[in-house]
Amino acid sequence: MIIRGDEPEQIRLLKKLYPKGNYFMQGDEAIAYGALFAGCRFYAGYPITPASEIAETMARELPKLKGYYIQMEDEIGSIAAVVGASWTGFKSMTATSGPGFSLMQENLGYAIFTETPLVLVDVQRSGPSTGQATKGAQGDFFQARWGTHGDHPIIAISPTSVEDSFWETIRAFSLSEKFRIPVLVLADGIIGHTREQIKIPDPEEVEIVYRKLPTSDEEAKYPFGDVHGDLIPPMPLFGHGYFTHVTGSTHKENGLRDVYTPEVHDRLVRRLHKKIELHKTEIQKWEEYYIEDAEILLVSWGVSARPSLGAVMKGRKKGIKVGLFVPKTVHPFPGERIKELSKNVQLIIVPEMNLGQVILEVQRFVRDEVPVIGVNKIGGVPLTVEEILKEIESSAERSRHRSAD
Amino acid sequence: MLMTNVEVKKDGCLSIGKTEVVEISVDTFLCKGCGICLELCPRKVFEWSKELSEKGVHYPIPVNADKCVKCKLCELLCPDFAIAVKW
Amino acid sequence: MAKEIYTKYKMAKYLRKEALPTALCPGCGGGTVLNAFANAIDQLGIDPRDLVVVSGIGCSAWIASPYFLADTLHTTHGRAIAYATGVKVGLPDKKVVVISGDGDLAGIGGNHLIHAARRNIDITVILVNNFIYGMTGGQVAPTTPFGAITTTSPYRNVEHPLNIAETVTSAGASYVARWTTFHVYQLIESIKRALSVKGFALVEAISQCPVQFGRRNRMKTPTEMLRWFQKNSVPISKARNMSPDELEGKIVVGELVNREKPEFTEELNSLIEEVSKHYGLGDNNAD
Repeated sequence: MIIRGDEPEQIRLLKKLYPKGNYFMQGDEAIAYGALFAGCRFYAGYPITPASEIAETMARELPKLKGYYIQMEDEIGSIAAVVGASWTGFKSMTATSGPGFSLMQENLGYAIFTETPLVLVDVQRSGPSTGQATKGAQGDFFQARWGTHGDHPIIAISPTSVEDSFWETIRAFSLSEKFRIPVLVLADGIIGHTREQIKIPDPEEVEIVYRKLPTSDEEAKYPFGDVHGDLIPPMPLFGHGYFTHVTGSTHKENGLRDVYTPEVHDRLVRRLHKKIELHKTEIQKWEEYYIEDAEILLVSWGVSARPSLGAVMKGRKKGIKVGLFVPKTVHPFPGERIKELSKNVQLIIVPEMNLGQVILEVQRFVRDEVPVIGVNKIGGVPLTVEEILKEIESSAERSRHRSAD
Repeated sequence: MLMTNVEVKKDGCLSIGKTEVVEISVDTFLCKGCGICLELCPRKVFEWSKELSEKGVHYPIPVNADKCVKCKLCELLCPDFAIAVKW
Repeated sequence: MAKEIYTKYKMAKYLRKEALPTALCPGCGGGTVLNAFANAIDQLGIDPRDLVVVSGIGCSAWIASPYFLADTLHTTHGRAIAYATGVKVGLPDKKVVVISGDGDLAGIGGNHLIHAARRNIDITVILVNNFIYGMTGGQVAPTTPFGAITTTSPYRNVEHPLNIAETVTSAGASYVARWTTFHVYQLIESIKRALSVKGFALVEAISQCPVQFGRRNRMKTPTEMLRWFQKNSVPISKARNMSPDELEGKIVVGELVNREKPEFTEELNSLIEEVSKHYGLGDNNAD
């Protein structure tokens, strides 16, 4: 059964159940509604703070839209069921937090290697281990990139507000379906559990993307081959008589395992990476504020982006030439753009709720061109405008003293 | 008692034992020489070949196909789908 | 691999010819299970286009994947049943079959096995039990008999094996049977019945691993292991009247349970109907 989400029956149900207008809800709920509007009709999950509300919302709403919620016995089973359902044609999602995300790594790698579209939401919480379960954080940035073993690409995006969570989840599905790769939504426990106003749109305003299906029996023979020259193979779903073979072992274009021929592995792994590299401009997304004449550049993501913007606006009022760069797609990281911007600034400040992860990516691209300093806060309380502003002001002060010498 | 003639031949990759009643064939490309059919046949229809097959193993020859009672145990037990008992 | 196979065996039509001959060892019971499965499909008249076969990691996971010609999903170690759950919910009208091993499904995957049985989801699991982790060289498994020699129990195994069929029965399965690869006819019949039952069905197929298990435990040929199965099998009707001591080292074969219970995907789909009705979400647009 293929449900794309834009079938007339589905549009009718969405309009009836969630009429266009203003709503007041948590980030978690916004993620769930974003998924529903994107056409997600299969969710397999396991409860975990602070992501349980996503599962609860899906459990309540999916049956109304003829979708399926199942609760599995653990996170590993959840992501496994999501992969299985995706191969039957469903847009599928699961949500978890740090400890569950750690458990899901193996099957996430399986999904990446078999090019299975799915969305995995990590509502980041303070870690490591059980950590501060009810407190948000941004400590999973590198786990999102490298949590699973081996050379693999990944797409990860991070929303900055409740309403943003709705739209970014929709974008996650679009990217996942178009590029046949799991997409991670790096949410966090603060936005996840904060209630804000959000505008729910008309379902027809949402662009629905569905995975590429084979247009002929011949195409269906190559579920892992570059049939169209865009490095994205067609996906011959189960249940259509294609006799598709899907395996986590290194495989040829026709899906059958071949671990003996080095070129097969080389070709497959490189194509998976090139698939993302080739389409990078479509995959990457960022926001820039007050950049034009900035001398200090803030790079901030997820929940830290808003206090950063507040600090930048206050800094500007005080006459400090400060700007803000917010990567929305965090993997692949938009380092090239930051490097470009760094040419015109004297300092880069990276506020984040961890001990310094995005800063390492910034430094990797910027190198020694410009000093990069972090504003790092852990402990579960979000960064405030004042804390970030203080760093901007003292940096501006230091820089004034230096130029006065 | 009638002595049924058994026609035994190797036709390419097929080791065949044929009587008027039944034809037992073994695909020696698939056969790995495990010996299950030979040792479990209740009527001792098979014997090991003297020479090696294309695979480099001894394979079963249905020498006593006239003793076959069509129980099909060889066909069903064969892990490699190599044996067919036809009548 | 194969450009052409010559066998006149009709069941070969169910195989992916280009993957033959199988990578299984000579005399591996897994091949016999594949043979029985093909026969069961054939006798029931099931079109392979209506099948999805899911497997995990291990020699037994190779039985149907890639050798059986159908939609096949070869997944990660222990998780086949969880993947199969997603597949079944997505394709409720197809037959979803899991063919995998004892270490895979009942060791690392034990949790998923128990909960699928509890849910009574309509999938058929053929659990091939060869008492060992064969593919990795013959390490001790949760099903290895007490006292047996393996590479990681080189002196003797000090643990007792799990009774898989009995455990799954308690967990709530609709149909559970155990046979050995010696009992091919009964194995085929049980697989047929398992495929026909609506609900969670498990067929535990005791299978010979002469290379890793048999060789280290005084049964190095496939036939010796098959004879061992034959001698040590006890039909369930007799086993019911035997004491645990008498049953030590014996293989209880037969159908343990065959009952009707509400099935998971049916319940899920009924729920959608109910919710739709409750919220007045029917087709008429009159609000």
